[in-house]
Amino acid sequence: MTTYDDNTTSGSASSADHESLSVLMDGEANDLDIARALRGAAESDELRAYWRRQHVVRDLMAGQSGTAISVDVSEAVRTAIASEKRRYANPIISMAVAASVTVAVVLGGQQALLFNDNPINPVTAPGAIVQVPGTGAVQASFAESPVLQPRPVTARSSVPPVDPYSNRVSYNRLADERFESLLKVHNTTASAASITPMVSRSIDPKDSQ
Amino acid sequence: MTQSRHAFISIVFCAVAVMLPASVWAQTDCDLDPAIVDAVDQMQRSHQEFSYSGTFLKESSGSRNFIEKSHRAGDERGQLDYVNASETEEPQAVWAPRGPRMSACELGKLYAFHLERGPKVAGRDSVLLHLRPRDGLRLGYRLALDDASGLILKSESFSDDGTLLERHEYASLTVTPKDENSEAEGPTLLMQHLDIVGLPFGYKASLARGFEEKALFVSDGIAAATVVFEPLPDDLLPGEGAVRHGATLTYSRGSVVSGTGVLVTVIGEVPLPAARLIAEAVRVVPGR
Amino acid sequence: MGSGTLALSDGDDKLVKRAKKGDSRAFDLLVLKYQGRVAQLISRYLNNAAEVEDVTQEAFIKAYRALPNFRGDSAFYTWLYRIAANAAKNHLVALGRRPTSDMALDDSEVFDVPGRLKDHQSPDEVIMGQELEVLISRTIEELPVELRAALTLREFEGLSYEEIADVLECPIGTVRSRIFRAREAIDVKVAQRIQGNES
Repeated sequence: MTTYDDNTTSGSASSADHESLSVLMDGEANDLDIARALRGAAESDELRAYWRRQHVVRDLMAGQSGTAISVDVSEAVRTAIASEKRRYANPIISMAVAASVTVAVVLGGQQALLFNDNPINPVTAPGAIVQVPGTGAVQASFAESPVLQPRPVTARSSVPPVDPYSNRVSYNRLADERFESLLKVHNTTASAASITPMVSRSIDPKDSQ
Repeated sequence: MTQSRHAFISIVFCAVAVMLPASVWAQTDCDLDPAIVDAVDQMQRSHQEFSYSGTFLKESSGSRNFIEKSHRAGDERGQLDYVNASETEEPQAVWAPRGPRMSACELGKLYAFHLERGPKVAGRDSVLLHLRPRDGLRLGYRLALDDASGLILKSESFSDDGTLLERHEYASLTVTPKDENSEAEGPTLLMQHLDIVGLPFGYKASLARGFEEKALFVSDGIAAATVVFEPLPDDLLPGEGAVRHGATLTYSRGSVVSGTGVLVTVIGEVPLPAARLIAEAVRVVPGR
Repeated sequence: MGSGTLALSDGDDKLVKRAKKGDSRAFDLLVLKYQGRVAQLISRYLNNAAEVEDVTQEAFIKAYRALPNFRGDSAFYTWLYRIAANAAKNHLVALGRRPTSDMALDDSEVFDVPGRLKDHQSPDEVIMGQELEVLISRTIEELPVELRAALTLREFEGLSYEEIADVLECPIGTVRSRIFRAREAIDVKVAQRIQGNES
């Protein structure tokens, strides 16, 4: 897209890398620029620092004086992401739980299962756990934590939490994350209730597809 | 006086077809004041019979948002727009309430009703309908219903101890009756309920509309909660936690069932004991 | 003026697209680009510098995991902003917990999100920011006019390279290199000042 008619960029490779970053900042990068920028930044601390500084400069020029200039978490984030990639075969979040997990409902009495005409294991005792055939895989929820393959856990439920405080903290965090990711879902499903006292129930119809 | 209503019944969610009797709405066969029955019925019909648009203030967890909402009579969807959002929200489509109509008598088993003259809201005359929960398993509400249309002009939800959790109140509202010549009301969708033991009293479960393979929906007709399942994160022992934003509680519980770690989350306008009962009532087992 | 906001979104599309495909180098550039603003936002909820850093880090990790859900309906930064604000609130939630020796959760323990905000920036950062602003304006003023013009049109007027080329009546390649050289000149001064502070 662009050709050089200035000979000022005929210098070292790193100067060309800097220029690719400069162009990328402006959204004017072509494929070559991007490739160069990505490769260069991955290989050079100096280039990353340059990119970072340039954005500090841009923020200041735009009057964003509150930008925290000295915070740099990029290394820690890089490390965390790299280690996640190693741990999980598919680092990008997948919404599907392993097909081996199905939803079961606790049934009582003689009520038939609703998902097909031939209930398996009719329940006689209240509180028994019955697997519901035909429901297929349950889609995992919409949370942000990475999906794990469920693994058999031995004697796990009999181990008391070592640190109940931090366990509660973790669950509160999980709950709060799920609030963020599930609220729109809940507003969609709850519109099926007969009365909607919450006047502002709203969903993005795209989300419900 | 109430009138019996005919409802068209549609089959949803399941392959199993079930026909129900044509007339499902009982006459006032309980002790409820007919004025209350009328108010509850009118509230449920209002979205079908009236078009409206206006701005309301939503107050929840210390945050306040002005929201513009509009809806055309009988339409499935309306529009919602956060007017003074600090985080950018695009205008959203909003579903009009379109679940099965509940009889006031059924609801009367779960909530004690009280009706009185209400204040003017958005310049409109209203009646105040109080719904006091008969137990600790649902929230309380105070609704200001428009005299002319039955639309909810103001809604407040309360916790057990009477704390106000959330308030939505129209600051301005324009209401017009639906055009006489417009199409007849569409069929009322019927929920196919799953029979689940251990749900809190009055609550029924069904597959969640729009998310039938992903979530359950649990409701007593007013209180509503959605339930989702996930694998339990590796490093987390069984436990529970919850947060409340305004009237909405999110409760997460990790447990191990037959060796598989599962995280159940219940999100909805329900008190904690109800959320916990709901989470306990469903179990996940590894498949074959 | 508002071109600052415009400028911030530029280039994000291409980086975000690659990051969504799993290119963590592209995501790294986004982190470097936005971490200052994200940290600024988070410091309105938390006033401890170490916590601000922790939560900033967490916000980016969450954003990375949530990338498949980013549909591009809003600007990337708007989406990131929301994730960061939530991470800060979650952290407040965690902080608000009091220790309990048993598992049972009762109603009084449910954390009600209060949504309090307060601004915080350390005096050092304020001073640094002010000094840098002065340094930057002075450097720009001292630039050769053709470099100054190109940079000004880009940063303050938000024009594209093509538009700048029209205005300055020169080829786009020239615009590109002039803006670059202007940035280099500023960078030399700024790097000295920042690195001086970080040693």
